[in-house]
Order: sequence, then C-alpha cells, then structure tokens
Amino acid sequence: MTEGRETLQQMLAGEHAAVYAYGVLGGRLAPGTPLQVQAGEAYIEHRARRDALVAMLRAAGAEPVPAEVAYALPAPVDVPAQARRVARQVEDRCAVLYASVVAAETGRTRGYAVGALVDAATRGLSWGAEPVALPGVGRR
Amino acid sequence: MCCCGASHLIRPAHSGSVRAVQAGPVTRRRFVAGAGLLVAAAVTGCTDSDDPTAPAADRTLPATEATGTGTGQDIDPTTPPDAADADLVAAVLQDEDRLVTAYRIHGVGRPDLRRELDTLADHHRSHLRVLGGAPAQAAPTTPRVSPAVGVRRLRQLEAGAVEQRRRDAVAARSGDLARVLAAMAASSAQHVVVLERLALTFGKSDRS
Repeated sequence: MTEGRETLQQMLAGEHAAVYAYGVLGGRLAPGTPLQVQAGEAYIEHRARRDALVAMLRAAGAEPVPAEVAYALPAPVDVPAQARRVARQVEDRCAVLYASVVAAETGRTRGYAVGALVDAATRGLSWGAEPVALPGVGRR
Repeated sequence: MCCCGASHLIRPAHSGSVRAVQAGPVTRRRFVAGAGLLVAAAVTGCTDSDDPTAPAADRTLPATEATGTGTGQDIDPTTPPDAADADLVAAVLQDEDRLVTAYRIHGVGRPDLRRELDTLADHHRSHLRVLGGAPAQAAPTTPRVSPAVGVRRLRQLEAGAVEQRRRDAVAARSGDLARVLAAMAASSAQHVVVLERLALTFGKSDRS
C-alpha cells in the first residue's frame, strides 16, 4: 500500500509540473490563437489528472505532495515553435513517467497509468511529435 | 548541481538540484520518479547528493533520447516473460501480425498511401520483435476496397488494438511486459490519430 501511495505521489508530482508548464505556455502564446487554445485544453486535461491523483491519495489516507512554487522550463517559450517543442517534451516525459508506473504497479493504479500513457502519447502528436513504436519506452 | 550537466525538461526553479535518473531497466524494486521525473531527460549515471528527496541510486528510470521516445527498434526483447504470461504474449503476437498484414494489404497499389502506412506497419513489426516474434511473410492480396475504406478499416483495427492492449497491460504478470504492452496501446492510439488525419485528406480530395 505504501508503495502504491509512493507511485501515486510520483504521478502527482509529474502532473504538478505539467500543469505549471502549460500554464506558462498558455500565458505566453497569443491570446485566442489555435495554439493557445490547445495549450489551454492540455492544461485542463493535466489539471484533471492532478485532481484525480490528489483524490486518490486522500482516499488512501495520504497527504498529496504539493506543487513546487515554480519550475524551470528547458527553453524559452516565446514563439510558437518553442512552445510546441516544450509541450512535446512535457508529454514525452509524462509518457516515460506513466510507462514506469505501469511496470511498477498492478491493478487499478497500473490501469490508470496505462490510460495516462495513451493520453500523453496522442497529445504529443497534437504538438507535432512523430508517432513512435513504443511511446514512453526509450531505447536502451 | 547535477554532475553530468545533462539538460532537463522541467525542474523546480528554486532548486539547483536535479533528482537523479539513471539509465537502466525498470523493475518494481528499481522504480522511482519524483517531481524530477518530468525532467528525466537523458541523465546517465548522475546522482545528486544535495537533494534529500533524491531517489536512491538503485532506483532508476530508463533514460530516453532527449528528442523523444525513440522508435523502439533498439529495444532488447523483454526478459523472458512470466510463464503465466505465455498465452498472453502468444495472443498479442497473433494480433500484431494481423495488423502488419492488414497494412500490407491496404498499401498494395496505393503509392499515395504507401509511405504513411509503411511507417505504421513498421511500428507493429517492432512490437513483434520486442516480444520475440517475427512478421509472417505471406504475400498480401490486392485490396478490394477503396483507399478511403481501407484507411477506415485500419483505423477500426487500431482502435480495437488500443483497447485490447490496455486490457493486456493490466492483465500481464510481468511488470516489464505490462510496460511494453501499454506502450503498444499508446502506439496504436497514435496510429488512430494518424489514420484519422489521412481519412480527412481523402475527404478533401473527394470534395475537390
């Protein structure tokens, strides 16, 4: 159970970071443009996952990890191409995170991570990523 | 600071530290993440003793290419699956082989589609290889349906594969196998998106 809580916390920490990143993207992109709308949608989707994970942790009697005050993005996101790249990286890292949870967990938590991995992989395409054979599983 | 200076996607801004992520296979025992997971980028053999919340060195995530998730071509076959997973693997191999065949059939005589469909079929060939199988070499027959219908059928097959692989991933006894099956589900979900885009181009050319 403790281990299951730990992986829930890891997923939550990842979603905190993703929510932050999309918040920044949404603020930097020109208002009302398709790209900004897309960033807003991604923000909402990650926020929903964050809230679901918070609820799962509370239900398990654990205190959810808080978000950091701020996160450093890997690159500026001042122009659309940069924003797309950062968004692709966010989804890619989410995919790796969730794939790892799938391997580490069983049952309901694993099932949740499988769904989140599928979502991250398809959302990545919407930011211009190419489809790959095994999203979230890198080369070794 | 991180000793290897690798770039990270996103990390807490107030912290000079990066939670360590080493290359290596993930097992239940070795799994870890942390807020730094999102930042997991390509950090190899790099630990951070400054950060008390950093995961222990023996708990690792796979390092991936900074650019993305890779093609899967270089992934070693999974460790021999739990004997209890043998039937599951056999069923997945059969299903993936059917997908490869379907792509070959619907790509025949369609140079406009061929390149796109070949890429997707290659992913399924990778899936077969990762599970220790190989695609059957049966000669594909000429499709009896229009390209638009063919793409629609492929989309249907892929959507079915997403759901089936999701169930398979949850059912697998081996965690490593589950991860590969979940990635296959995600791959088929990406294919659904690609095929939907292709179907839209047919719609446009039909109207013109």
